[in-house]
Amino acid sequence: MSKRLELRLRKFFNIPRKGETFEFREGLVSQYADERKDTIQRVIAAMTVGKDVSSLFPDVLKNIATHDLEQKKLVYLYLMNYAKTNPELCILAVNTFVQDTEDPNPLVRALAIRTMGCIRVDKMVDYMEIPLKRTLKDDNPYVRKTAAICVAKMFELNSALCLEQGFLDRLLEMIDDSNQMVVANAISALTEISKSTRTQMLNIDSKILKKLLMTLNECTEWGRISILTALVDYDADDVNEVQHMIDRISPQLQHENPAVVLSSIKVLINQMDKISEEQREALLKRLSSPLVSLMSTPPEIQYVALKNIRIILEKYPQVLSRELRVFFIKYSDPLYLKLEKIDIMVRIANESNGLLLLAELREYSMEIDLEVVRRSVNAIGQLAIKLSKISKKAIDVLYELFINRAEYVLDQLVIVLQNVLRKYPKEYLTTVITIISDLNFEDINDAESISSYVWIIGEYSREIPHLETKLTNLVKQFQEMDPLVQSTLLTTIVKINLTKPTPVTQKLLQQVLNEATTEVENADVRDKAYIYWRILSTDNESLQKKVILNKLPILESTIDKFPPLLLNELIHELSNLGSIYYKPASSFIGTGDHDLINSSSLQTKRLEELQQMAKNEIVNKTVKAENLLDFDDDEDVGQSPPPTDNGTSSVSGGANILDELNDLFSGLSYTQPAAGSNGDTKNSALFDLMNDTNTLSGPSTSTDKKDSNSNDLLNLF
Amino acid sequence: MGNIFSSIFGKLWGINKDIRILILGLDGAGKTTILYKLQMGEVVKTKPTIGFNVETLTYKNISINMWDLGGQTSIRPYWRCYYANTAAVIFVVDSTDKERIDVAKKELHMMLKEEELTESALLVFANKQDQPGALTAAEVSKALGLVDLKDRSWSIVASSAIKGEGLTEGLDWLIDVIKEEQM
Repeated sequence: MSKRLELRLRKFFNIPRKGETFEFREGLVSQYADERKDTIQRVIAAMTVGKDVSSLFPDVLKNIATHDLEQKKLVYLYLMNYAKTNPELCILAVNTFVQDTEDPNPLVRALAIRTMGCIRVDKMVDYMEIPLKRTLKDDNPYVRKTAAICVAKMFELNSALCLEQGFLDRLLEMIDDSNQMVVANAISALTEISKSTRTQMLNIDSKILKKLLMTLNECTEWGRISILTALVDYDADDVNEVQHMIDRISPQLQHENPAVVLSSIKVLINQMDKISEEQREALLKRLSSPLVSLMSTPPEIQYVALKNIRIILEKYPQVLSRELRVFFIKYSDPLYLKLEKIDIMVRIANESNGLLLLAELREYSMEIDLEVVRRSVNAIGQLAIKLSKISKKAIDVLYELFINRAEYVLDQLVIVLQNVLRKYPKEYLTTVITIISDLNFEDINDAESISSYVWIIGEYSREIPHLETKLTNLVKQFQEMDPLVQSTLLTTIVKINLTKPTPVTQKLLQQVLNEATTEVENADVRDKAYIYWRILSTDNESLQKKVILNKLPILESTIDKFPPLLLNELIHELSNLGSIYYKPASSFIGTGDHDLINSSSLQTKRLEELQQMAKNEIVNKTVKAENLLDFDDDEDVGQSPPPTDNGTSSVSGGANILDELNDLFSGLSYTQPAAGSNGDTKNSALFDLMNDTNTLSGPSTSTDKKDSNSNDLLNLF
Repeated sequence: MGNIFSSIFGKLWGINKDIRILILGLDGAGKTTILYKLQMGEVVKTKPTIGFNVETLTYKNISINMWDLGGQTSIRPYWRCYYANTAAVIFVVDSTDKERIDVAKKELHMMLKEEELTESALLVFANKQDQPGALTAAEVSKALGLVDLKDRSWSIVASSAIKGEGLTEGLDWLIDVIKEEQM
């Protein structure tokens, strides 16, 4: 007794340990119920602001068994968050979970099964089976619909158990459920499972279709989305069925949730191929107003809508042809939206609204925001190329922009001019030449723009005044330029020398060729220079002109398009993340970890196999070669082992023979040109050229031969 | 305001205060059956407890929080999580399970060594007396080595959870001890 007293006294005088965690722990095991609940609330508050309270796990867990729904929810929330940090301790909650799934209150039953599904701990799965089975057959639809989603969660953790217990069959039965929420959740669980396993778990037939279409109108918005998503893959039997689908789904186009609208559009568009031309036209007309209504949503959603509209427009360009004004930029739009809108407008533009758009774009090109200006100048060019009727006006606008001398426009302007010339090589030449001749390349900064500038000079060298000065200025900085510009400049100078050679240009040609082959690091530029050099040394001027002065095909459009396969996939995945990235979902959603590990191990395995095969082949071949080539060492042939799979002796033997073979071939390669020079002079000339250029010390020779024309240059070699 | 007063007075006079009692023992000893027999007065069909059950019962004007912890080998290590603020421990022994009585003894003594339990009273139920071949309370006491326990109020009661025999007697004793200590 005295000892106990002593203990109690010691405890009394003990300085209490300090710290928030200690306080929490004390509170959680308090003898007063309200104090415990209060502490749980504080713990959750700490959790939500990002403090790590995982060390309190067992103490919080103790409070799970309570009849206070609020407290239960809080503890469940904590459990979901920290189950991963204490997987072993999770089983302490199992008993309460199982009991709660039998609770008279359906909210508690659903809460328990939902939380159980969210605790992604392997040990939990074993105990989930019975409660899940029970809740899937619950009388209350709210519990059933929660359990349906849990099947998908459990499937991810343990698919074998799910199949074994017939949970998937139960899900399929649930499609027939009387409650629409249950149906919707069963559908979304099945879709989820189908996606993760890449097998079709849900085979919609016309009976299920009818049921789903009936359910559609009564569902919550998220239920509608999952049903609509499931319907995308449906392959209708006949036109009547499609018509029925269209009739049922069309009302959804008026829904206020943009995701529902886009999902409905997705389903309808994917059924379009099956209906007649007139019906399709009518349907497309009906699609335009919901798409327009998406433009009155917050900017983020508008952005998503625009990205999707872009895909739809590419498949059915006529959809929004009358709705240009909706996409006009508002001053308050964020930048990303403005750029996207300009893109869409150019796509919508046609003969009737082209002028309106041009006027609008002209306004945009005087905005403050550089990005918008650049994009609008580009759009004016796209418009000019797309609609030949208004191209004259578009060029006028461009010229006006140039006259105003807004520096930031110039870069984009030059690129646009190049594209315009490629579509209309003659019509607007005078305007373009005026602009280009008035422009120095120092005025433009962007590599692509300079490259366009250089291209125009080369293509229309006859019309450009002060050509030689311009070229000399350009060549002076040849080495500092971007490879793209170097490459274009190279071509341009070669072209000019074929069309209008002067002593100055010839000197420039030599200088550029020398610098490109000896100083430039970029392999492409160097190779291009070599090719030109060799062609120029053929002495066949008509051939040179044929190769170098070949006209480019007329540019049809500068509006980029998706490849048809990608477009089909994107149409199929409308209103998903993939439609924003413009990538099919399969390309950025990785397969599960299992698959990754499997495939990589498989790959290494395959690699090993291939290596082994390659080794065998070498061994076999060398042994054969040995038989053929080895004339003087007959004894060796007799002794050498027959071709075996991976006999090391034969490999090492083979290595020696390989060396011999190499020697033999290198000898051949020496003799080949000599033999060629007897027969084919062209070949040898080229070969000599190569040798010479290799031995040339660029700058010194080029300065020596200042006055030589191109023929002289060639004779030099 | 009223709330604050009531909670302050509650704390002063020990009203609203829950007394924590743990029910421990090997798996299959009858802990869950005892808990629900005490709480509801009826025998419920039980499954092995994975985790714990907790029920509040009011006995002689005292509100008691009864914690029934699962007794399976895998869960026993987690008993320690529940020791804090525990007024008493009820240790249930299956009197017919002679083979595992040594295991029970080991678990019991390991538990009693815990610092957090130095003040807790101990009540042992020698359960399943209704079954033939059950050890008597005295035999169980000897097998568990209860006599060696010093500085702790303890008691052993022969019980049958199914018939409800011995449970109230045991609890009466426990409550008396707790009252004496806390008041």
